[in-house]
Amino acid sequence: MKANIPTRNKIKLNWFKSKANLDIERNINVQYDATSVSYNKHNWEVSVKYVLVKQGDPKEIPVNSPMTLYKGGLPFLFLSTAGIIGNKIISEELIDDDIKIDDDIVQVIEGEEKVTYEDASDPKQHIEVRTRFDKISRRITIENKLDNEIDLVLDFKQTKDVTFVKSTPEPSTIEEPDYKFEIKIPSEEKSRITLELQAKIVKRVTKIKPEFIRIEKVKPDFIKKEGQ
Amino acid sequence: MLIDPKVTKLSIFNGGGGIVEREIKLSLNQGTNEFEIAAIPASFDPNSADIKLEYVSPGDKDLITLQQTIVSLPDVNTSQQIIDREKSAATNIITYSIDFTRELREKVSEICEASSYRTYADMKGTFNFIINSKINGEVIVKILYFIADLRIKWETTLQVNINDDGKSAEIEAYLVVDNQTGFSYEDVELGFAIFELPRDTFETTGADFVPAANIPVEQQAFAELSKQKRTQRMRNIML
Repeated sequence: MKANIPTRNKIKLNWFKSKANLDIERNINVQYDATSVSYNKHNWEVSVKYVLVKQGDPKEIPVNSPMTLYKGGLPFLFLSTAGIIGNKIISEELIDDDIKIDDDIVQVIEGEEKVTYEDASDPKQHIEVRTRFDKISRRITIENKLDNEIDLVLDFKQTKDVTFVKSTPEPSTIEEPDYKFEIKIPSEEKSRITLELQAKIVKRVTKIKPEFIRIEKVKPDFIKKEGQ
Repeated sequence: MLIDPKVTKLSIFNGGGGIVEREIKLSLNQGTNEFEIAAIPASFDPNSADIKLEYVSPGDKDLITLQQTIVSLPDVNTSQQIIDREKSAATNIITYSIDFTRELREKVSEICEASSYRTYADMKGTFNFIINSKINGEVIVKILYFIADLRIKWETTLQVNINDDGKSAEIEAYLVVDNQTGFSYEDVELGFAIFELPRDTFETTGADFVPAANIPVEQQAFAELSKQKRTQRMRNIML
């Protein structure tokens, strides 16, 4: 390719034109710990990325190249490339503000507390470990505010403290610790998922061992003083 | 003799800088022939500057040889003083000009803009070479050097037209070359490489370390290149 590059100027050259298949990947990642699982409300965000599978020879496009998406001849989204894998051009991930998610607590059933003891660093003390398994029900509502139907994947990842029990609807794929829900939501409609979870709640209290607890006696000095 | 070999190829890095290839056919006299290359920017890397001789007839190989190259960069402080004086003169031109007609206005703007953008990298470096020849003849000289000027770079822009079905699109890709240096390149073969010259400052204890602050910004990349510890390979060159 030959060109003139004048000083203090920008020049634009045609590089390639190609047809491509477009895939819009929307994801919601949901994960709780022993504390956050019982929060009244969570507001999760939907991440969206555009994947273009180009026809023809692969092209090396640098990361962070500006990319403008046009619909009906008008630009509607400005973003940049995040990576290229062969013929796949992957955009950066953005937060989709047109998809709203409300995650509300429905029910908490506290389990029976079991008490065990662990050694403390002080031999006169021990740690009282109170463990209970709570059953927690949460409802996630996803609202599509776009004027077209969308596909998205909600990925619930269980943790060591919060495990999956069941859900309505059932997960589309289970690859522990990931429970994935493939959801299709028509324009301006809502979709709901109810998760039933088990949370392991552990509380630790350091206490003096019973055999080392002294009962305070009233000192006789007071009585003596009274007698004088 | 002052020569101005044509820039035949310019490979630009997306992170700034590039490789310049120049070529010229020279007539040689018997004996020592000394040449000075014109329009060498001070942003050129003296260590990577290279000259290759291409012989017009194969028999010249033993008769024409490159004796040596001489490279140097202009003094930083002196160059800065010159630049400052130029900028000051440009300001005076604007301040004290009595009348700006349309033609004059454009000319004055051009001069003043050029001086306001000028940096150390726009000054001239020295790249001389000596060829020994046992005959009166001709030789093609190919000159290659890196430029560590981050003001010349390229990027791509993608225009994605999504079709009505929402499942397919048409991609239109453009290469945008941004040349904010003081040098123009006419009718050159362009190459585009995905490469970034190192810019971070490293902590060194070496006695010969020159503090980064004393090196012009445009040259810092090369000053630090030798201290790089991580591999960084040029990924691809697109033509």
